Amino acid sequence: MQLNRRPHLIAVILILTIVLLTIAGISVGSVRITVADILKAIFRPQSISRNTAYIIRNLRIPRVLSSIVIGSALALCGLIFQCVFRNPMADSYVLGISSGASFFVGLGFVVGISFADVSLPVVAFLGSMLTTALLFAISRRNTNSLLLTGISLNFLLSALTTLTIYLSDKRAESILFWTLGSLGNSNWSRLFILCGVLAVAFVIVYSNCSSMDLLLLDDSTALSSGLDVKKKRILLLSVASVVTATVVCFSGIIGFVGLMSPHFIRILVGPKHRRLIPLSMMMGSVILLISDMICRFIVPPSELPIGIVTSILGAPVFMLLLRRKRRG
Amino acid sequence: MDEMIRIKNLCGGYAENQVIKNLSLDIAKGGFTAIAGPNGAGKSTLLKYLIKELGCPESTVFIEDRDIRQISQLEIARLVSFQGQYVPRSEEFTVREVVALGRFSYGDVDRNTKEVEKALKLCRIEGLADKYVTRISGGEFQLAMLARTICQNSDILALDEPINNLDPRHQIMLMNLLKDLSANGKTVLCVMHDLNAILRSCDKCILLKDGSIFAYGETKSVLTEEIIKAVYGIDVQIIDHQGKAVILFK
Repeated sequence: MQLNRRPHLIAVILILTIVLLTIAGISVGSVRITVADILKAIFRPQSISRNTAYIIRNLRIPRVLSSIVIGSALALCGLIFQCVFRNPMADSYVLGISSGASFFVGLGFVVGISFADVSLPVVAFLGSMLTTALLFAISRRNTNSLLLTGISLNFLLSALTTLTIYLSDKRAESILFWTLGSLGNSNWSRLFILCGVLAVAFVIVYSNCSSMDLLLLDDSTALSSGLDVKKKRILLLSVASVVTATVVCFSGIIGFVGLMSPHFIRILVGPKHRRLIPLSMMMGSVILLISDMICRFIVPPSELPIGIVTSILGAPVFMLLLRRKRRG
Repeated sequence: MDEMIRIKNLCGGYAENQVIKNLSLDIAKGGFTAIAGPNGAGKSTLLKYLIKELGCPESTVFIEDRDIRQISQLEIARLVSFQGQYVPRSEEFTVREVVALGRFSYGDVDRNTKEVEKALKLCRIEGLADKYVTRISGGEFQLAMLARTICQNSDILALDEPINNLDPRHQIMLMNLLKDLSANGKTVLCVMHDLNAILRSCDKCILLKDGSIFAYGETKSVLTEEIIKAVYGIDVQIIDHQGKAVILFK
């Protein structure tokens, strides 16, 4: 009975945390904003200064909502990769899919694409998808070799990204900043695209909860239970690759959220994906909301790359969680 | 049509390693059939063809007279349930959650509690239902996996060494359970090494050697001193103990 009640309690706690962090996230920054200002900006924008209204409506709110959506998306991808490879260390970074995107972005900078160029997300998306295609082609869809191929590709593409930084001279700082992740370019149109992709991905993945549970056993058991293991793996990996590509192209590389969120929730509610998927996504949002606030809070008016914060926060928490791993 | 499983001239295995060599076999509906033989003889490989883990290049495996290649994976699950030798249990599922996964092909994993409770009761592990599989013994996990197989409610049970890890009491309990299931119309196919357990419980025995059938028939006619010597290369003596045949290894 206790097991059945707990996910709901955790969901309520996470939702409340997200609401509080959303309000705090809109308030915190180089310009301090009160809760009253937020409400005015939403419901009566003419009652506050135009600048404040602009900051709240077009900068802070899209940015905070992007944190929620991107955090969820990263957690969902991490969960899929960990399930498909039955490996707690698998995620889009380990498999080189994110590195593929950053390499292409690096190449883009070398050939003259600017940081604000609209083609940059497209280039990143192309890099992610090509890496995924290459991953499948080389490993011939064998799960074990897929993971090893991914790790090798990650090393290769990371080295090539470093090479583009070396070659790009004046643009090196831009590439480096992008590879460390940022939510600074969030806007409403990007947010809508992210929401659309994540909504479709969530529906597909959540309708495959039981399949993902079975994948955690072994292939023979999953097959004999009626699961077409190969097809299901390809479907889930394709979904994760598209989501990763979309996230990376809008926010750069943000590590650790995809790895940490599912682990944290798994310790609390166990491995059943029906509970794990929504709660991990909420957890991802919480982690990214906190990280984004820290980025903006530490060195105002400039900000730290978010990937640095997620890694600094994530690594010790992750180690602590592993040490204290328990459930029930 | 009494044959539940029909295999015609099956050859196959893994990549270039041909494990099964021109094997033909008919298994009637119902009954408890053991598959025995030395390590590497092709016992587990044979079961893998029945769940389509290994694909048949030609029309060689038939279930209820239907070419297995024409049967979807979901439909296979309703015809054949399988318990493998090694199932990882790194995740903290409860026993009940694992057993319920047997309902996957019916789409009621989280709803059909009746079948789950029935399977738990049959395997006498109701008391373990809410324990995590990572915190029970190997034998208890084996029983949980068997309950998952039973929960699948298919006509054929294909089990790969199900009594490994079990203590004698649970071995006898499990063999009696499989006998009861076969008496109630299930076709039970069981890879086993314990020849005495086969002799005690199974109706028929398939003895494999080097990927081919060396002997197949009533258990007592297959497990003779001569055939065991020829297949395993060991000397045994079969004695009568209180009306039951017992194999003594010399």
